[in-house]
Amino acid sequence: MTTNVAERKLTRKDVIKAWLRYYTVTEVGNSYERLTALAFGFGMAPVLEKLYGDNPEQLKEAYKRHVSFYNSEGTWGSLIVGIAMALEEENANKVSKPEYDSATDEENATEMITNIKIGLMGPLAGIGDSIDMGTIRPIFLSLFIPLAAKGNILGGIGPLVLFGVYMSFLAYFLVRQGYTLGRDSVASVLQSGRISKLIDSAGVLGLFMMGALSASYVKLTTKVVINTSGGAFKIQDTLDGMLPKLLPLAVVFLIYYYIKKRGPKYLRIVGAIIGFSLLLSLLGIV
Amino acid sequence: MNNFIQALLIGLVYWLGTNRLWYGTTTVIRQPLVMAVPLGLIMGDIQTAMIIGGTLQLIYLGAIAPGGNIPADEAFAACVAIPIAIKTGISAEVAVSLAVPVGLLGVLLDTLRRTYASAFVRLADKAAEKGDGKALRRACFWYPFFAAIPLRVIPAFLAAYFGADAVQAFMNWIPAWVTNGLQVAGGVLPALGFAVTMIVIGKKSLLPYFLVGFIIMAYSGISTIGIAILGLCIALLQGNFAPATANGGESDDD
Repeated sequence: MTTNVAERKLTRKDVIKAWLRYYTVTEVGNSYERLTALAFGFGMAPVLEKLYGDNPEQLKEAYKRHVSFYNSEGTWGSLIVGIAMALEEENANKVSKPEYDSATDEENATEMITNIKIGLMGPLAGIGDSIDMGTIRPIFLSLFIPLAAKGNILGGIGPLVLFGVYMSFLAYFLVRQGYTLGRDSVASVLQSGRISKLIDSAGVLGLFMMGALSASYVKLTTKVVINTSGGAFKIQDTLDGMLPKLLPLAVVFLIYYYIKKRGPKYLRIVGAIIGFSLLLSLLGIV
Repeated sequence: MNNFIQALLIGLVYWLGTNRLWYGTTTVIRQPLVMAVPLGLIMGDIQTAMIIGGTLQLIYLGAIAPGGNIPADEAFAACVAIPIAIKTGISAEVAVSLAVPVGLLGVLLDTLRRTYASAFVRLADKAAEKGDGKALRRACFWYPFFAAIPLRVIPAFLAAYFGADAVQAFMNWIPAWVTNGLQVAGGVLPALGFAVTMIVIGKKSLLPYFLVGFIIMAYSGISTIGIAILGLCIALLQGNFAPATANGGESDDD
């Protein structure tokens, strides 16, 4: 054991560099076995080398900690990267002290780092998936679909740039917060009502937009004409009189309830849509 | 541009869309709306590419990948549908009907990628055990990064190189009711994208907002920006004045 007791401190540059590494490769080494664990290890590697560079045994253990199972949504998961760096820094300072007794203290401190990662990754993935992936991204994309429908190239560049900038800045903010505030504040934010209110607002916006877009983009009309003594009678006109776009609305809810009841069987749904469309077309109904 | 080079470039575009670099853009760059830009440039018809990309996008609007499991490969669908539609002149709706099953095939590639990645996990463990930082970096990033290049480029190249002729022959052969049926299916398939987004958002008690949006749009037909601003106002009002919905019980992601 060395007796180097100098304070081990990560600079702002170290923190940002580790995050840049993690955020660049988050999904690249994704495996069924460990999910995004390898990206976490790749991001943390230089930080761990700085903190434990003079102690090969500690360094090995630290490497192992950060290639162990881990999965979260990348942007909100940046918060965990920040926290992990703060905790590793704390741990490195503790283990470098001469009076440190590795037999008792180490287990607890390093176990806590792993437990915090595992404890936070689920809730944060839930937030990231529902707000950013489930709501913000469809809205960004759908705002640019009308441009694309006119053949405008900006319809494709716009969502990439805007969503990319939004996500990157949010992730940057979160890694800084995670590192500065540490684990306690994150737990308190997750427990407060603010996050669930935020998710509600995002849900309202998302559902409202999905309704509006369904009305514009789902297309289904019927060609059925009933010949009565009073003349030809178009079913579609009657439907339009009840509610314009009634058939598209019915189809969206049909699929919605099917997925709710039977789970996300996309292949079957796509097959059914194409199959029914062909059948109804053959019968002259659509 | 000759077919071979064109197909090769399409293969590279597919890799660009699926190499997963930079988390902030990786889930957007693979969207048909975005893929349409390089594909349109390669095929020399930006306008058609954007129109088809926009139509295709509707289906994949809400498809998120919980736990990293992608439900469909929208990038592969785009790389197949857009070049073929430009080459053969089929309509956006028909192109979409053809592309969606192909998009599901693309999922197999991702399954393959995440299965063979176990080998990199072994290497990373070994490197950590030895305290070898350089080997750790290779196993965590460089190997999976390079392995994905042939995995992505080759299938998209083959589809682009042989696909258009096959589709053209198919379209010439099929009767009119089939073309019409595919056209109808192309109009209905976006409903899947919206339904999936509704499920993902998950708050059943907020479902009436879907109807509010639908009915306003069905009767007024105002612009997307206009309706988005209206939706934002309603969302802010909900945030300010309504109590938070209960956690857990009401959400669907259980």
